[in-house]
Amino acid sequence: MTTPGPDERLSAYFDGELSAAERVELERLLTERSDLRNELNGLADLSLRLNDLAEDLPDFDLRSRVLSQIESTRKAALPLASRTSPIHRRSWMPLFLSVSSLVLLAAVMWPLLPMSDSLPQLAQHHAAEDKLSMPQLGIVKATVSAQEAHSTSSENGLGATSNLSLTEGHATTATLGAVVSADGNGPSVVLAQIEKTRGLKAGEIVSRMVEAGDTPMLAEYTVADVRRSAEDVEVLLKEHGIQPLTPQQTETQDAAQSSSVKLEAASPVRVYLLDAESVSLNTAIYECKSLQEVVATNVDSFSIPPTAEVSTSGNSLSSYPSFINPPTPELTPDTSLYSSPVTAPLDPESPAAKLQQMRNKQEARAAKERRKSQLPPGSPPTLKDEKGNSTIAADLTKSAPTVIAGNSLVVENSVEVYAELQHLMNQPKLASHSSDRAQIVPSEPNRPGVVETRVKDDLNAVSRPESQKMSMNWSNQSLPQQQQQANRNRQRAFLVLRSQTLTQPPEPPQPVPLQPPD
Amino acid sequence: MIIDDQLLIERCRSGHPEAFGDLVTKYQRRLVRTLSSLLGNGHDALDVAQDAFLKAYLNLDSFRGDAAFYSWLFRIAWNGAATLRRKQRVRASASLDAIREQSGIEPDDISPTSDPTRALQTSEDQQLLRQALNELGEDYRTALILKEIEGLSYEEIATLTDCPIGTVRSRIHRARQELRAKLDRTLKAVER
Repeated sequence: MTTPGPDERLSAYFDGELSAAERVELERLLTERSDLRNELNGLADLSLRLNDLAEDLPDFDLRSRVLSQIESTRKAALPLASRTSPIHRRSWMPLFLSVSSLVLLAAVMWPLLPMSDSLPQLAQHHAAEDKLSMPQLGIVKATVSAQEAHSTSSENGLGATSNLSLTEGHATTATLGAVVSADGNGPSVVLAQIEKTRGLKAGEIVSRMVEAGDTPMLAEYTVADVRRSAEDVEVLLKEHGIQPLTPQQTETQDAAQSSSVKLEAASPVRVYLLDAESVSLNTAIYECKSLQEVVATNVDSFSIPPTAEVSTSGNSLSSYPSFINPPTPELTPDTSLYSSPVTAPLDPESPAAKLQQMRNKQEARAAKERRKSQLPPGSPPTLKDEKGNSTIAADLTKSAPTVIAGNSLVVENSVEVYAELQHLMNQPKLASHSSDRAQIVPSEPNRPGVVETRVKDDLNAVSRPESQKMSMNWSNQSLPQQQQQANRNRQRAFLVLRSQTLTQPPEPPQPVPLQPPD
Repeated sequence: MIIDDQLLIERCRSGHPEAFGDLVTKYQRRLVRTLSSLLGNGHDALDVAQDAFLKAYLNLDSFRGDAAFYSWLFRIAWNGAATLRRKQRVRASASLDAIREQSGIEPDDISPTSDPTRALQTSEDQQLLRQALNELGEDYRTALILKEIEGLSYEEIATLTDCPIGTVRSRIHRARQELRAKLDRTLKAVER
């Protein structure tokens, strides 16, 4: 690398790029050489001229151009929906809300509209009821405003039609159609009086077991408005025309005779399957005057073990003097209330296991069939036999050699009730037990299979043993946690209604608190 | 000053593009001045500067603040100017080739600085200086402008132009010599 000459060093000196030593040396030369000083002056002059030239620029403003370009770039990068200005969004909002409101209103009002095809379905339903001569059990689950309800009932003179189903979303439970004309004497009055006695909040779900004559109904509805909730109920729940049964038949029936009792005749005992949230079920049982006994089980414990040690001396559930006081919801808010685990695990080859398999298949077929056919409310109860053939409940019940108490009635789609109770009554220990009291034997912890009986009149007579309270953790370990939690809040109960109670004069409805008394 | 820039940059990053407008206002003239000298064309300088600001904004997240914002911005503009010069060379070469092929005559200088109308708009002295500057070799002119107009150090120029510092020093010296010589010749010609 060659050493730069004095001129190049002078240029670097002018730019301040020389090292200290080079600068000292060059400054010494500058003092000695005038040509270098002239050259340095020339560099300074050139620099001034170049800077003057650079400053000779037209006026311009890149700020606005750059910001405009930035905005364009940002818009291009955003999705189309995001580019909609707030003003545009606001302009669409009223229309969107209006359409949404109309859709929601239509969805709510649809079941309440007096459609032309509702009346034939209603007539068909009542015809089936009359033929079977049985009370119906239903759950009303609806949300409607008082204004809508009032207009429906007053303008048409008929109660709104509604599909009443036991616990929506559970295909294995009974699905019943119910709604009769509004005469003011039905369960709506009961509910109205009940609701007036307690403070309700909008959006609260309320469940009530009400009786219209001999028809128990579990009403489950959402409070649309506190001040108008009674009007909501008035429209949604209507009286059922169900024939009462005679107490004599109940007194004289036994297991041997019951199998031959025809459904057309008055049955002394009726069993209903309720699949409901535990608190609702508890409330319903307390409020149902005609309910005598309850055989309860948790949702996933229908595989009652063959060695279930539920004992009774009688041939019907009516003789069960099993008194298990249910704990209050406060004590066990998330557990099923009327049950205790019992005994041994299922043997895959056991009758109960086979029965469970059969039921599972039947449930699947029934659910599929229901989806296909969408049976209207009031259709004859449909059951499936082992081969999957459809039959009505009446025929199946009549042909069955052993039916609970001989006079049990299985409501629509409640094949589980029929099978379970049939199996329960066929237990050897049940038939051979000599005690009058049903023995609830606590089983091993976390053992599936739960059954419990009790008599309504003695619900408060006996305190529940502490050990049984502790054993109420259902064995749902094989289920996902979320499903376990959901099942803990639900319970199935076989409600046994005695005709003796049904024949008594109806008592005036009494306000009942949501939660059972201690 | 750098702290101010950093605050403005943070505001930009937090969704306030108007803060970037302040940065544009702050540095636009300096940048355009340098670009105009480098490119020899004010319009191209504005276009390159605008693109440089936009690219800087779009890539603001990649600016780590290790150097001054303007240095980072100028590097972006420098790259833009280099790209433009390459395109201009290609176009000019293609145009010259086309003219030669069609007429066999060497074309006149078509650079903007040779435009007589433009010369009327500027002082004669500045026009002569600009013309002499544009006649410098690109490396010389670039090094001289980066030093004189942009005020970069030799090291910064070396980094920017990817050459040794000694070369930068030499180029700047030679650029000054040539430019002064051209101006002297032009002045003498005018005086005659």
